[in-house]
Amino acid sequence: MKILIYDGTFDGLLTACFEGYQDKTVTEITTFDRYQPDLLQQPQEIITDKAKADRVYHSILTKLSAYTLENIYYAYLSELPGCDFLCLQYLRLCYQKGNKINAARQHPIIDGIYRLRFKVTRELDRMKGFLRFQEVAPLFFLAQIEPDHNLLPILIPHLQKRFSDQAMLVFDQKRNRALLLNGQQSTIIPFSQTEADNLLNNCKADEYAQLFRQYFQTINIPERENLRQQLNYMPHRYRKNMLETQ
Amino acid sequence: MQSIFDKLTILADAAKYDVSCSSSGSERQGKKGSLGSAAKAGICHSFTADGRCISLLKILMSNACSYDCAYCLSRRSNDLPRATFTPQEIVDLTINFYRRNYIEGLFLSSAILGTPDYTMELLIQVVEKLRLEEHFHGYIHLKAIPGADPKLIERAGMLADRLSVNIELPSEVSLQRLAPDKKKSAILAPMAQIHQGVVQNRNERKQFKKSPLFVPAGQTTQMIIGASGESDLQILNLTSALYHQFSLKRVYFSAYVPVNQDKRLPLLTSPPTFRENRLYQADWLMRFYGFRAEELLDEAYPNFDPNFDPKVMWAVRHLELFPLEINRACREELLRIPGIGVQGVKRIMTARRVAPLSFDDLKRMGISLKRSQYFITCQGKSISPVALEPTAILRALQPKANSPYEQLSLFPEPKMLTGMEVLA
Repeated sequence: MKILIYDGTFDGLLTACFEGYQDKTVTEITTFDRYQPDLLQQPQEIITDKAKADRVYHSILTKLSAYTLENIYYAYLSELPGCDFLCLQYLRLCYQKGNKINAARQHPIIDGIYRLRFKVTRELDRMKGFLRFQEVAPLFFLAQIEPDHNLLPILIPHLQKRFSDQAMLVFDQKRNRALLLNGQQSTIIPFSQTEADNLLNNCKADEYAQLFRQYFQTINIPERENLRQQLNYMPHRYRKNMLETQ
Repeated sequence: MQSIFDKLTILADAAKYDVSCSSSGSERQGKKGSLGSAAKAGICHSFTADGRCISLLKILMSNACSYDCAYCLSRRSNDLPRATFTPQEIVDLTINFYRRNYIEGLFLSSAILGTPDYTMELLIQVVEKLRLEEHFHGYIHLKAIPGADPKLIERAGMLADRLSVNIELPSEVSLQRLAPDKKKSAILAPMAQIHQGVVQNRNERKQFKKSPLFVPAGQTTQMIIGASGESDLQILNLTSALYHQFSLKRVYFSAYVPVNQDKRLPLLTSPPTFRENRLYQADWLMRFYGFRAEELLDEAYPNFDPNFDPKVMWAVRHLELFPLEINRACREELLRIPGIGVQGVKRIMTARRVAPLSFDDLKRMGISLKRSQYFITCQGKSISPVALEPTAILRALQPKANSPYEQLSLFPEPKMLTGMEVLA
């Protein structure tokens, strides 16, 4: 009954997988943030080792597939309880049965991984739409989000392709991190609500926000009201950062 | 002088009955240093209280119409505030909304301002400004105005991602009665032209990779459901013909919302959204499931059943093909099982290559057995609680009333089992 604790980075997770791969007494992997001490389990700290992580990374790419690696990455980003250990189980299964096991959707581990992947990609698709920028300086835009999963790293390609001529800051309120990017570069930095508020307080009321709010009200057909459907597509937890539903 | 706020209110209100809002299907790529890109799958940016998505800034250029169509709010004889945008106003709105990630692009339509040619020219002016001056690479959906010069349509196609011509009503008779200014031939001519252009462009791009795009996201159309007397069968046949003749991407159905008092129009208390829903189900069956229109409806039963979806109705009429063995049926057969969709079929086809599937496996894979259980076997076993006969299956599948208790009435509501009558 061993529990591996890593630092929350992807390299850390891969190191944990490296250390725990042979050790059948490992029953759980978690991060320092999420770790809850437990009487029965014996904790073991994992020190992130870039060399070990790289070995796992390249081994997955060459012996398994890029698709498998992608699945592990999405599962890691989901940050849901149990997701880290599921990655280890998934890796063990893939190495044992070969890459073709990915087709076996009926297998509980494969199915678990796909469900995590689905949750993360669905939220990513939603966030591409629900993100709302405010112009805090000429051609510098700020958005605040509070996603269930850690979306900042996978939002980069979309934002860079689409808004290649503007600078952007996407603040993840839940994780106190921000993605700072423009058309060429991107970086993820620690950030706080006060810093975001400071930026927002400096800018004046946006005429286009007003116009869009009005557009949102007008384009609705009251005779066809269907709040249930609206809720299915746009859950309440996303609405507080969207200007039209605030 | 109207403010931009007033214009937006008037012209968004007039545009809201256009159904299409999809922003999918275009392969237009973003360019370094300029704004915008199209997403292949489309992106929804918000959802209004009627459950429809906001993807594009859907707006009319003008609502000062010179036509007088019975079903339309903007018709000439209605007394309401009129407004017309200048091209620059629309460009500013689009670019600024886009930069704030409110929208995926622009859906620009217009009432007939004077002549079709003049209106079309105005629309093209807006798109030219967006594409050539602002270097905007986002999604643009443009209405092709029936009766406009073919050269203008061609020009619009070079700039927009999607063009659409609304067929408005499902038959020429209704069109003459309700929209006397519009002609069937004038509607079909641009459709044929766009179709031809798309085919030609596809061939060109096979030879020359860099040849300019022409309507990369294809063309669509829309018709109003419930404003005229056509049956579902007529509508479906027309839809099928449009898909075959003009390779449309989509045919949209719009449940008629009674906006005008007019003797030529039916009196409705609410828009026939249930009928619209059944038509969409049939539309999907034709486009993705390999069904033909004549398989879903025929002369004897020209309308869809309110209680059962078209696939269930088809399946109970063809029980000789069932039950299907999940582990052996081919893709075409799997697609015909009620309750199993395109995604489900894909999952089944991949998973069964590894090991034969059981009902538990299906459940775990997220395949609903609610409807499919009556029509399938897994490794020879069935879990259907009823016999494989139409009446038994329909009774089991009948939608449940909300509450088991009800106020008894001397004049009871008509019974629910209309599907059975079809079979009788």
